[in-house]
Amino acid sequence: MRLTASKRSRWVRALWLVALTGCGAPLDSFNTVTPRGDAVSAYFTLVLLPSFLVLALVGGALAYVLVRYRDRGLRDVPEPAQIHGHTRLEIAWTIAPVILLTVLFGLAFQTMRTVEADSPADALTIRVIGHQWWWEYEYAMPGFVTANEVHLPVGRPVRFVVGSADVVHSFWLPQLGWKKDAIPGKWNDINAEFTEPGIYDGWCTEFCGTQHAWMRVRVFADSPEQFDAWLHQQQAPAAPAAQPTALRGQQIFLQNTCVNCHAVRGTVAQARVGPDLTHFGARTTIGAGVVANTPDHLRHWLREVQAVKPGALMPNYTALSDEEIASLAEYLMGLE
Amino acid sequence: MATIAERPPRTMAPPRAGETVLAWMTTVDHKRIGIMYLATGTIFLAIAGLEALLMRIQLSVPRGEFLSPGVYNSLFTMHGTTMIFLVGMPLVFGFANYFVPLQIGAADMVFPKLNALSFWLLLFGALLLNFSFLVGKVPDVGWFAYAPLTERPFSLSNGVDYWILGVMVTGVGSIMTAFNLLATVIKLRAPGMTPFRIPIFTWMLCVVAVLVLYALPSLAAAQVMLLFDRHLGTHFFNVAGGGDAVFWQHLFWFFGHPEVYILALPAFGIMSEVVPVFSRKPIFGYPFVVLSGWVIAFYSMLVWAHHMFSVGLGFIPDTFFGVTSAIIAIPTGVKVLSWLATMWGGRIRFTTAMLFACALIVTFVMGGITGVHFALVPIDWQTTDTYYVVGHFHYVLFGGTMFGLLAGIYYWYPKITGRLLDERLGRWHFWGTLIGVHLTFLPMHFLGLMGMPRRIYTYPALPGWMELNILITIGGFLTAAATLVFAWNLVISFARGRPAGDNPWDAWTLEWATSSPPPPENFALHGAALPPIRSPRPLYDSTHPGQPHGDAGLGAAGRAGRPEALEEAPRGGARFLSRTSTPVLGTLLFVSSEVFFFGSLIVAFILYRTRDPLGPGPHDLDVATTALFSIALFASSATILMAERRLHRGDQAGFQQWWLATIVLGAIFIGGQLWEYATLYGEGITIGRNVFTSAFYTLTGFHGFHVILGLIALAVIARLALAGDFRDGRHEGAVAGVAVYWHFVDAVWVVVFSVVYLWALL
Repeated sequence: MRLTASKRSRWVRALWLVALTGCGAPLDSFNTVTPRGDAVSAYFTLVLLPSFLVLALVGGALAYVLVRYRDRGLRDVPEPAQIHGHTRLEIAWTIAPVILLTVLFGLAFQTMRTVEADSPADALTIRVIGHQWWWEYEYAMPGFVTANEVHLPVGRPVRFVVGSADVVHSFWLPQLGWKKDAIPGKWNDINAEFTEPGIYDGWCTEFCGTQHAWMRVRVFADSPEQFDAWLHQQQAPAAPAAQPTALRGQQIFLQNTCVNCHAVRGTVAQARVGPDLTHFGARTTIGAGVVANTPDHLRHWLREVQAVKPGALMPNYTALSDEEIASLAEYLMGLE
Repeated sequence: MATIAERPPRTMAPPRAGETVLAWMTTVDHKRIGIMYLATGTIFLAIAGLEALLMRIQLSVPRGEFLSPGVYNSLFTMHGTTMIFLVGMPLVFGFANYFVPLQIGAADMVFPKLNALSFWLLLFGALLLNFSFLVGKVPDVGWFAYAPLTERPFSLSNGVDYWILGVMVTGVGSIMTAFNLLATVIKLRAPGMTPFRIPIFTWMLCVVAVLVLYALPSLAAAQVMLLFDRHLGTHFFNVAGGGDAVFWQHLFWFFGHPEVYILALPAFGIMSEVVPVFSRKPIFGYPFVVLSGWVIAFYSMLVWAHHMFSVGLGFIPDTFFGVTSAIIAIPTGVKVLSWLATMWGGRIRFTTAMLFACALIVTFVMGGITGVHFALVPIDWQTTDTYYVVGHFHYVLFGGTMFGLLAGIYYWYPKITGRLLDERLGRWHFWGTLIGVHLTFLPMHFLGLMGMPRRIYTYPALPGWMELNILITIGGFLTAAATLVFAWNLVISFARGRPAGDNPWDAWTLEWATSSPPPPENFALHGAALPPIRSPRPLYDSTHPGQPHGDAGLGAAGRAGRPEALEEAPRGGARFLSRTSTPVLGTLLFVSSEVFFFGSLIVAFILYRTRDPLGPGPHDLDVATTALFSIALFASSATILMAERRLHRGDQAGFQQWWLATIVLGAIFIGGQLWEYATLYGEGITIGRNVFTSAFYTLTGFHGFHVILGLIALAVIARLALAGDFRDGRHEGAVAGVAVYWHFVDAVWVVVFSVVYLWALL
């Protein structure tokens, strides 16, 4: 069943691609990589069939009527027969959609059950906490916190427990297959199992303020070995800065207001207002996806974050000298 | 209730500009008010359209820097709010004001002064909302204003307050318009116009009026709570203070979804006028078309949480709201099929009005089908809050509502101005709009499926995203260009259009039985009386005397009409409505709307009463004392009844005595309530202590506020009574109207007292 379903969704995807000639744009909503997401996209694909059929019928009927019964401008044509209705016909076309909708909703019911089923007890639990405008990820066993990029092993059930520290956000990856809101005062479960390794991007989909646009989600579905290595690395506190520039950067980090918001495990910086930076250097993007994590971008970010991500809840550090910024960037990039 | 026409006769010298302005500002003529609504809607359409174009420029390229994120967020907030409250509703009410009285053969609305007040409230609310631009504090939280983003900690600027107050003021106007329209249709129908002979446009406006009455109050209640959260320190939606973020969404969408139908049903009504006239056939299945409107309205109040499937409400609520939402597709489909069947076998004239009507069928069906997708929960989970939704609802609101309203403008412009719109310009407008709209909103579906979320001010350079976004922008500008053609058409045709005559389309409803534009009081000065009304198409009947007319009663669909008396004796509910005096009817309709306002506050109280087990709660209330002064309020219902009886008997002195007794009892209640508040404040139980105090003071305070309003009304009547205004049975209706309001205030207190105080004893 699953195989046919994903085949069918691939077929639809190809159809869409034809429609988008030249764009080569991937319709990620149909390109799901989790069995539950496959159920959603298979269901969606199935619903598209009667959808197009109904549209074709109505459109066809309208076209026929417009051509066949247009006023041809002839004189002395008798007035059209004044038909006021046809009760049986009207009852029939009231009941026909009931049948169609009952079938469609029956299948929807089934798909909802599939998507909402609980995870097995041994699922990897990851707490997802939305903040204005970044994501925090809390791994329960072993306990550590990271931000904006979440890793998980392919082939193992994962339970995302989604919540919020401030306003309403929503956690969505098109290729996951569905979304759940991150609501303060409420925890929502997303139970998934990724079947194909890869990097999957998504977004916050509930408007959450100024920088809603740059609150991206990035999931790394790793092989079990890669994942274990990543886990091992993340558990460890930050390695002390060794090289002199980095050491200087660490001092700048600890002496400035950075520590009011950020944590670097293994140092005195332990705040949890902004993203945890313990392994910042290992991340691929800065600012929840606004730019790639390169030394150039990082220096720009540190000096003028308000130019890179206007409204972000972090001040510009224009008072720092170029040398200080460079050292700070060196230190942060070294936190792998 | 007929009004004095203030328009000077045409033979007089043209009035000076100042006089004209004053005449329009003080008018109570439903036609002039209708025109002012239409003009307001059109002006704000231009503003909201401009806002959309600015957003489209920003989104044309990845990482665009044309607009800052703050400005972009303000623009989409204002675009949505403006299109819904300052374009959609004014255009709908404009047509309703102008054509409902005409279609039922009335001289004006039943409450013409209230009608003027409604318009000015709407305009004032609109200006208040847009004043935020001048002070640089534009709302930037979305038209749905989800809490807690709108709470003080996350939105310090007064933008949210402008949004709350501006929208609330327009809402008060809308509720007044709604019960005015309903009372007008109930009270002022021409002789012979039985319910199943009412034109479908008027029917649909009745449905809309009911939705406005019962859906808008929950928004007003939510806005009051939010305003109190922001300025009085209550905690309704403030999660840190124990409030509930999801509760806002329930209240908002309980209003928000019916609002879709408030905007869509009038367009369906226009369709059911335009399609038959230009197909030269009666509407197919009149009773089905009317009843489907009521069914849509009923279900639209049971589907709100389909906007909340991603909230995680749970399996059972998701299923319930999914099923009710899917069911709405059925009556909507009935309408579409009825239009097609009306055209079938007809002789279709392709006027611009008819072109828009035909375009509506296809475009709206596309939006309807994707609408069903959002009822099917798993598809909603994947596509909600993406551009798939943006595409979907623009197909509904532009392809449905807007196309319908445009058809209406081409259809009725000649009646309003006396001149026809230019058909050649109309065609340019039509094709430009049709292509522009599809070019704008079709690619949005693809972007949504590719992963583009709503409400983002920019996006990274992903494959295909820029190409589609540029297409959308081009479509938007094409639509704007076509709209400019339309604007030019409106202006040039007013000056130079072909004279329309009374009935340029050979149409069949009563608005075409008078001159274009109609004289003050519509039919009275037009010489001949109204034609006899024996079917929904009186003008058809009078030109086809030989043909049996088709009465559109349920059993009569498709059969030739039976010979009927012009006026049937009303039965059942209809008899009650026709016997109730107009002021009482108006008050009843108004207070029925208030039920939903108090209902929302009561739900809030029930939700929050014991949520904070440590802080103040119901057990802190002094039930016995409150019971004591509540007796005064309950007794006042009896005294006002006595006063009415005395007045009816002509006993002026007795009337005045009982009436004053009512005022005294009401004042005792208010005094008691003030004393209660003072005591609680003395104990440190202030409104901002916790969620219980928030809900307690808001609920009882709003009731007290209603009592005070009632006291003012009672005092006004008392003053007039002392001046002898009520001798010989004059103005008995006004007294009865105030009495109904007073009984309502009492009845609300019975519920509030039970929920707040008696429950505390358990």
